[in-house]
Amino acid sequence: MKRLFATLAVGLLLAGAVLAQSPRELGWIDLELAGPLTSVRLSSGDGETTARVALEAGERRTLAVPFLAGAGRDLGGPRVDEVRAPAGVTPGVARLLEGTRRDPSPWEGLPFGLRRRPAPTVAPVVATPGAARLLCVVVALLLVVGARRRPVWALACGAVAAGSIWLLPAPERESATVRVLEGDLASAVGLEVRGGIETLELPWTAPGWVRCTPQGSAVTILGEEREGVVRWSVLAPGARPYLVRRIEAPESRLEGFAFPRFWVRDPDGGWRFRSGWAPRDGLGFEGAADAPPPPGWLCSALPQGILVQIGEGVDPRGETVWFRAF
Amino acid sequence: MTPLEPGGAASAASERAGLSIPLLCWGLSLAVVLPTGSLAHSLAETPRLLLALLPWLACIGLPRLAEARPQRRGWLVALALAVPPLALAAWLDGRAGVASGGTLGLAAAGLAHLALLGEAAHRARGRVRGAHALLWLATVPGCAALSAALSWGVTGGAAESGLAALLASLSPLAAPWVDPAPAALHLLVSPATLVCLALFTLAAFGGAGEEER
Repeated sequence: MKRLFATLAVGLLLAGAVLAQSPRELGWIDLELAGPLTSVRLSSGDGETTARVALEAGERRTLAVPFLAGAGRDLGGPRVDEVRAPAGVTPGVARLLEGTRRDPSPWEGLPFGLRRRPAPTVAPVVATPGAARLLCVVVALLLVVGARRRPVWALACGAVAAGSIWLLPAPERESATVRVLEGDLASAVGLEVRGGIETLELPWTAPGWVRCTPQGSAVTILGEEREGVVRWSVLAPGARPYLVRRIEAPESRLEGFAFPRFWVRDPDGGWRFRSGWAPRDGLGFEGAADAPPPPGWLCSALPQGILVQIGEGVDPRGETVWFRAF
Repeated sequence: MTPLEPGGAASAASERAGLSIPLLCWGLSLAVVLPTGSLAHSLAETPRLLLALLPWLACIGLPRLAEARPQRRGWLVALALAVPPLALAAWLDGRAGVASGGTLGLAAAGLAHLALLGEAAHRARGRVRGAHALLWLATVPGCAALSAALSWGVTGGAAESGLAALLASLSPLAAPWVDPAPAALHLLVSPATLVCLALFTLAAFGGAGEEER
């Protein structure tokens, strides 16, 4: 009996460890809205989804809403927690449409090698001030030094320069994201992984998974309406969220992609590089003499003795995408 | 008073000397705000506002060497020089998404520390000047340096020394770095703010007592 309990305890610990490593499932469900309302909040599993959609009284709309289920477990599905309306107005109604729920396929059904791929590195954006702001700082220096005998005036000059730095128009902010297409050469299954820093746009309506570094970080989903379309974002303050979705035959999706840099590692360990590679070119190319090394963050923990393909490319919309298959 | 009037040359020379440290701080704060190349990527996740504040916090409250209190508050000129680079650092932090909550609040807390330290150095006179200098030395650079030394002394990746964290929280130089995600409120109610207030109170009321004598 003691041995049985010990075995059970070890089994539960292992199961917990596996579940702890499984990412959170990201499902979709249709939500019927009837105004007046300004936002709707749903909760499910261990996540929360907020949709900021403005509807007038009598207005109706059906929206596909993402939700986070528990880590690999179904904890009862999403439910509507709160419907908000403008102050003094009775809020409308939000109803989940049964039968429209779409969950991802089981994470454990994916090839083992795909599940164990390390998360890609997301490099933070290095912001630059621009010439105008630097000029503000230099001009402020000259004015303050000139007004040094009148400290209050000097302080006023500094404050005006500081205000100008904040008020000058700024270019659109770049978001730190990375997109990787992971392929498993032994099967026709792959993953598309998108990573960000604290905030990550959800660009697809397919079910998938959400991972975070560090694991266990709080994750919420926020939808905001812009020009009639609700755009969803995954928010993970202080963490790096990753969105993962299953793709079939990943290599066939590379049509229309351009790969300025492409590397192949042969089973004997030798790397070959080609610039300007396209999928129709095949893998029978010679390596360049002064080839750049493949990026370290994509080459970490590669298994030995098998063919590996790594590419840095641009999709038909001009977005940078990385490709890794083995 | 112009350089041609009696004592004018000495006054002008004194002014230039008084500007040298603020100008050095201006250059240092701009240098940490505008790193290039690999340093830029290394510092990408470090709040640049906190880096830009360091030279000003180190120098604006420097105890006066001369007994006579200057007629003008030179620390106001230093603060005026500090504000644009700090604003630039805060703007860059906002663009990079670092310190996404309360960048402006952190800047206000930092400016409050600068104002208290600067005014304390300006008001200290007589015997209070010596006490102010000792207290400033022990807390602002002293606690920060001791905390750093204790942290270096912890080997093998062991947990941070509690004493090191306590000493760091006492110094306005090190206090913002104690919390990995400092919030303006946390900084304003930290022991470092109490140290700045203590320096100001000592200089303001002790200095007033010296004047009455």
